[in-house]
Amino acid sequence: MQPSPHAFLYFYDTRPRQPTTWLSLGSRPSISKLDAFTQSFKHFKDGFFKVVVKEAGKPYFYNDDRSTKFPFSWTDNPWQYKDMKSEKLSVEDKEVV
Amino acid sequence: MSSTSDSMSLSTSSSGSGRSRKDIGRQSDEGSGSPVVGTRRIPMETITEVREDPPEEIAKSSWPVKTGYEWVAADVRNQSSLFRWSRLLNSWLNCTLVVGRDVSRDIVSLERVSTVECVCHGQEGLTDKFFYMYMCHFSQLHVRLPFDDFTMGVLRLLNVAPTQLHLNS
Repeated sequence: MQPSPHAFLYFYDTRPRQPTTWLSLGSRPSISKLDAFTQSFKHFKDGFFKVVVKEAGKPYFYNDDRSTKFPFSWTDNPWQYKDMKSEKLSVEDKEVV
Repeated sequence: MSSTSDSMSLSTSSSGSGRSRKDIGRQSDEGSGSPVVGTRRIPMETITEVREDPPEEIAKSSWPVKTGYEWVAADVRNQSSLFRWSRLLNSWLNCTLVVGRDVSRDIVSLERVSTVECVCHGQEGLTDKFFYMYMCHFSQLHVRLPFDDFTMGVLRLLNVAPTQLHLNS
């Protein structure tokens, strides 16, 4: 079984807030499949540092068109998932879910 | 090395989180990181590589703050990082596995942040060259670089940077 981002996020709601702050994933109570990660992180916020991609690392972090494989910077428009309909999932993802 | 880092909680180093600006000078005095490192001293060969942070950079907490981030909540924008001191960063990196074992360490360089940098700041250039990560990602959640396709796919779908996702999620 391949882990699928779509199928994974099917089990969660996101609640983007304005102004933008850390995005939380909330599990959908009715279909909660994964045990919540209960450990709470109170002190993560003051421990950030910079990861600079070097030449040798480019294939891991960039696509062929030189776009990044994931957002490097914060965005003001995280995708809001609320009650994702199972119709939105691909056939393969439906089997996973 | 990754398994032994479990015992080091990020909270042990977070004494600075509640400090106000006026305490920054005092913090820099103890910036050698010794309270954090505890029994895990830095191996000698890495100590020689550590560059002392220029004192004037640490003192300049009154540097102009980057503008254009009004869309970000104030608590995010005002949160500075403990890793303004390369010594402190390096002492953590010496006991925290960041790059996966099967990958060359040469794919990234891990760098301290400046006083005015905030986790939500972008590149403000044409190409993205870096991203931020929390030490917690590696020390407690066992994230390793590079990310796998699934992780990057989730970030892409959510349209968020790695640090934009709350760690309790």
